[in-house]
Amino acid sequence: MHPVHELKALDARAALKSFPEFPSNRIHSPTASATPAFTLGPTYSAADLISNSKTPSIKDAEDNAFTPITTPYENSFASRLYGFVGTTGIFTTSSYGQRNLLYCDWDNKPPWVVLLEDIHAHYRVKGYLQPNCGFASSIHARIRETIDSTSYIAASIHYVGLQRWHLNQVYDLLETVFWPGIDGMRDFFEVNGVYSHRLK
Amino acid sequence: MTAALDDFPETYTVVAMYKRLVVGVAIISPPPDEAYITYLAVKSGWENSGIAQYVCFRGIVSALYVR
Repeated sequence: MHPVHELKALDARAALKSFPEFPSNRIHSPTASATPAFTLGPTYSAADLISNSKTPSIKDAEDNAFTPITTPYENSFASRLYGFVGTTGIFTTSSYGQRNLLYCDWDNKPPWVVLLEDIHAHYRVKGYLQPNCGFASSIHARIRETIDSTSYIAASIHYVGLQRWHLNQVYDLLETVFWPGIDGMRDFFEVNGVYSHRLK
Repeated sequence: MTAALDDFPETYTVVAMYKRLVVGVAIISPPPDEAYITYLAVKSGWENSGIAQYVCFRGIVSALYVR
């Protein structure tokens, strides 16, 4: 283990220099989501671990343990504060800001999500399986390719207020659960109007 | 509808999200005298995670607080 005085403290100034640009520039630049500007250390993927056939030395293991792993900008805390360009639109501060984020639940997840995370963690930790064992190895190679290509990242369940960009998904969910052709917000306000009218 | 969405308090309409996926929603209308749960839905495959419980709780608390 490193002695305590040899540990490199995280240099705040260096981190600030690598901080992403101001949010307005980031949101309007087309390559904002493709180039994560928030890098604190080297990135390790499952492919790196698998392709590394030699046994890592203790020094490497220590370096890996004390080096923070890079978080993609879209999943980082900064993205929730400053917004980012997503696949379905621009997510700004108001969609994940302090005003709307009601609760962040890391404890409760469906069993299949927990199983999925366990599988990914298993392959990430184990690194590789038997390289030359015929049929099984091809399956394992496919699993490796799948996991490397998707690079799964665990997340929590966020409880937020209804936003405009939720509406399509909310309509789909309500149509699935209740009946097709349901217009959630329209019915919602009609019911509201009827009730208030009768109560008056 | 957009104006209504802007004017309406966000705490009455609670949405549960996993990453960018909406997994649960509760829409609670606060009439003057009593609150009314208009819609409460959870995506299939996400049951038994306390989503509807918290979503409902949050909306009801908001309605009680306003009264």
